[in-house]
Amino acid sequence: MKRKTKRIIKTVLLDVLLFAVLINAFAYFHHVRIRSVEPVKIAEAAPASPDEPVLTPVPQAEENVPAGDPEVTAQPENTDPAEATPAPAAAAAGLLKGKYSEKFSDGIELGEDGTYRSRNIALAINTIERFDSKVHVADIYINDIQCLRTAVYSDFSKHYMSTVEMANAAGAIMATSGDHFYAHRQAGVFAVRNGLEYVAKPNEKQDICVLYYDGTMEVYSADEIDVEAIYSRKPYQIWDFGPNMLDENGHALEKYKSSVANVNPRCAIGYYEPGHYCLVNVEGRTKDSGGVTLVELGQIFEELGCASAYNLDGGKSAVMAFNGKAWSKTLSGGRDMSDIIYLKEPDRAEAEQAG
Amino acid sequence: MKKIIPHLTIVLSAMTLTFFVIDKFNEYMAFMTSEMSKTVFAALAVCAAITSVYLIADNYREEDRRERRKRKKQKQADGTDGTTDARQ
Repeated sequence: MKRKTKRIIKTVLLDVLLFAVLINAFAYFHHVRIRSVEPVKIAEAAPASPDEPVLTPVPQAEENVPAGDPEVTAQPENTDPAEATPAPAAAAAGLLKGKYSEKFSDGIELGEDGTYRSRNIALAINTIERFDSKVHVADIYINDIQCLRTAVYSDFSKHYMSTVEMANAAGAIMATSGDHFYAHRQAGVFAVRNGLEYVAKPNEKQDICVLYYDGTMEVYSADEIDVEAIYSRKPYQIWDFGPNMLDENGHALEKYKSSVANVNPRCAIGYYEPGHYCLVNVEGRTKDSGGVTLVELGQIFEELGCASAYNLDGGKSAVMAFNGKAWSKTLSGGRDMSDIIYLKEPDRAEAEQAG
Repeated sequence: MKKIIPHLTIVLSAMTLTFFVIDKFNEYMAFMTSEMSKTVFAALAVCAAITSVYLIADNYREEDRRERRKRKKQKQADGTDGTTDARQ
C-alpha cells in the first residue's frame, strides 16, 4: 500500500512538472517571444497642394524649453494657443481649410506648459479634474495629416519600448501610448500605421477606429467592419482596441461591452473634424487620481464635444509624453509598448530644412 | 507509448482548462482561438483518441479474460459434477 501511494505521488508530481514545462513553453511562443511582422504599403498619402503649410523647421527642444520635470510643472490656466498671436498667412490651406488659422504660428513656439505651435501644428495640453481623477487633454489642430503619426517599436528596436523612449526615438513633440496591437495580434487585429498594413485579421469582436488620409476619423463597431470599403477610402491609421466611446450624435453610451469597463487609467483619442483631434490621458491607481470607468470616459468625450472617440490601451500602458518627458504620472514606469501615437512636423518640412 | 500518452492527455487537458479559464478573463489574448492553441487542442484530441483506443482494447481483453475465466470455472464445475455422476 505504501509503495502504491509513493508511486501515485511520483506520477502526479511528474505530470505537474510536465504541465509546468509545457505551459511555460506555450506562453513563451504564444505571447512572450516577439515575432516580427513585415508591414505592407496599402495607401499613398494624398499629394500636398503647393500652398500647404509644411515648411516649418523641426523644433529644437533644448533651445526653447527650460529644464524641468513636466510632472511637477504647473498646469496652464489657459493654454489655448489661439490667443495673442496673429494668424500666419500660410495656414490658409490644409486639412482645416484655413479655419483656426489664429491658432498656428509662423515660427516654432514650444512652451513648458504643454503648448506647441507652428505652421502645421497647434497643440495645447490642458489638465482638468473629472471624477476625482486627473485628466490630460491634448487639443490638437493639424494642417497636414502626416503630423499625426504612429510609431511601431520595430522601427527602432527589437524589443518593446516605453512610450517616452519611443517618442524620443521618433522625434515626437508629444505622444501617447497606442493600442499595443502587437501584444494581442494573435487574437486577430486590424493594424494600419502611417499607411502601412501590419496585420489585417479582424477578430469580429472589437470595434476599430480608422483615420483616413482626408483627416476624417470613423469608429466602426465589430459587426459593421467592411474591409473593402475602408481600404477604398485610403486608411492612414487603423487602431484595434476600443470600444467606441460615443454614439452617432456624440453622446456617451450607457454601457460599454468590455472586460476592462471598471475604474482604470485611460488613454483614448477623440475627433472633432478633419484636422482637429484630441488625445486624452486619465491618470489612475494613485492616491490623487483613481482613474475612470468607460462610462465616465465617454462622458468626458461628450463634454469635450467630440464627434467620435475611441478607447486605446489603458491601465499601466496609459502614458502621455511631451517634449521628451512623461507628462502624465506613470504606474511603475509604465509598460513597454509596441506602438505610440505622436505629433511631429511633416517629413517634407524636415527635408526642406535639411536641404 | 502506452505509458506516456495517458500522461500527455492529462497534461494537455490541464492546459486546455487553464486556457479556458484565462480566456474568460481576457479573451483578447486569444488563448482559445490562436493557431498555437488550436495545435494544443489537436494534440489533445490525438492523445485522447489513442488513449481511448488503448483503453477500449484493454477493456476487450479484460472482457475476454473474464469470459475465459468464467468458462474455465464453468468447465471445472461441470467436470466435477460429471465425476460425481460417474461415481454414482
